[in-house]
Amino acid sequence: MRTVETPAKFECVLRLLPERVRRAAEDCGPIDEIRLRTDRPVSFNAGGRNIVTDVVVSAQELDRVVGLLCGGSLHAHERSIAEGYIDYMGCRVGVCGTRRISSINIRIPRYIRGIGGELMTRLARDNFRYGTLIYSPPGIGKTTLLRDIAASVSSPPYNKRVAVIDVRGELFDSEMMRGCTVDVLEGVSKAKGIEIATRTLSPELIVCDEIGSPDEAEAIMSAQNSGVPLLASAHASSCRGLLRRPAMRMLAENAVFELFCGIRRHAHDEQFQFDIRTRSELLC
Amino acid sequence: MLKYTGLSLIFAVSILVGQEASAISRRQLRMTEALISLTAYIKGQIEFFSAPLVEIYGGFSNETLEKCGFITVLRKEGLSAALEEIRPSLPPDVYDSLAAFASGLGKSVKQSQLDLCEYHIEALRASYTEQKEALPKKTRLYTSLSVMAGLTAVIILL
Repeated sequence: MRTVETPAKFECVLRLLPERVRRAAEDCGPIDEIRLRTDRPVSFNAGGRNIVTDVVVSAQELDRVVGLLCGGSLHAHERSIAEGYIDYMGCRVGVCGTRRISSINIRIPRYIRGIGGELMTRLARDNFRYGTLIYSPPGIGKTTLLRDIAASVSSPPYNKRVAVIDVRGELFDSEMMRGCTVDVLEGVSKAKGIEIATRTLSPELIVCDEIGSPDEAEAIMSAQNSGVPLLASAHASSCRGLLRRPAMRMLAENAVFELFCGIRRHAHDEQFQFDIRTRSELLC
Repeated sequence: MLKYTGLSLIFAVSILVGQEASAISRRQLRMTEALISLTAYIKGQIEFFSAPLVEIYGGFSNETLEKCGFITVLRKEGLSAALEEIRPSLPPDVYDSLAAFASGLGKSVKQSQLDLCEYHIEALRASYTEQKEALPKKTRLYTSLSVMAGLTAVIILL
């Protein structure tokens, strides 16, 4: 396994924070998430641990951080804020509130190469022909895994044409995917992205993150009749939980995905544990 | 002979001072016009493209504002800093309006930003109209005052 760290991005994010928060973050070591809440304690998520500090940020400080995250142009991020996030240099910042943002969660992306393990072996054995859905609860590393698989599939020895539908600007990373045969569609909906990719890029694999609503699933289903396999992720704690979601059941029943892979990871452990099932195994 | 040369010089300087005062008024008018076009440009870019301010500033050009170094500072440090740069060349009401505009820019949602732009464009246009109407009167006043001041000085010294 080769780990590609992201000190540059972490440093960029740190520069935006109030001095007290920055010092507390630096003392914590590698951080996955930084949470700032108005008049409440700042907390960090590091390796699955929730670290609560005694630093409290004011509304003015939070406004300033949000302003900096938006590059001083809140209006330019209005749509994404309404969707609950701000994209800052490939870091997804979750926001609460629209007119008055009361808390934010800055997720520091991690780029770890070669973590596909068993799933990657399985996909390669099938020559990446089947649609695959990766599921897990939030914060386990679905996006990290998707990013790694996209990078691995699009580089030697596979060299597949991969289209990445990056709605929130957090899946594709130019640094990690340098030299990869990846096309990236940013700022379009997943369904539209799949349609555009299929029509204009002739990909061998389409990768997108976090399929959620039934509307989205329906649109994906109608766009996904081209035979290009889709590698996607969804929130679910178990395969039963996954099938309880109508959108996921619909996608499974309509054979958009042939493989379903649940992932788990222990705190401080970069290795995933995979639970791979075929569609028939899942549905029976 | 030396006395007459001196008196001519005093008179000429007086006239030049009057002309410079008129030129300042004209410059302020041109500046106000240029800043109205900047404000309108910002509004258009926000309205149709929801463009971030960095991009908006990067895409704007205006000869008057470029000559005085405003554009360079605008692109590097933003509107507030650029306004400080040209503050002496602006009428106080124009500066105040634009300073308030700059402080609210980029800090709210699109519709609020558009309202902010609209409000300040109106204020700047009103100031521009006032300045434009007052310009011929000011020019006449400065010319008369300078000629009178020059003549008075000459008569006293004669």
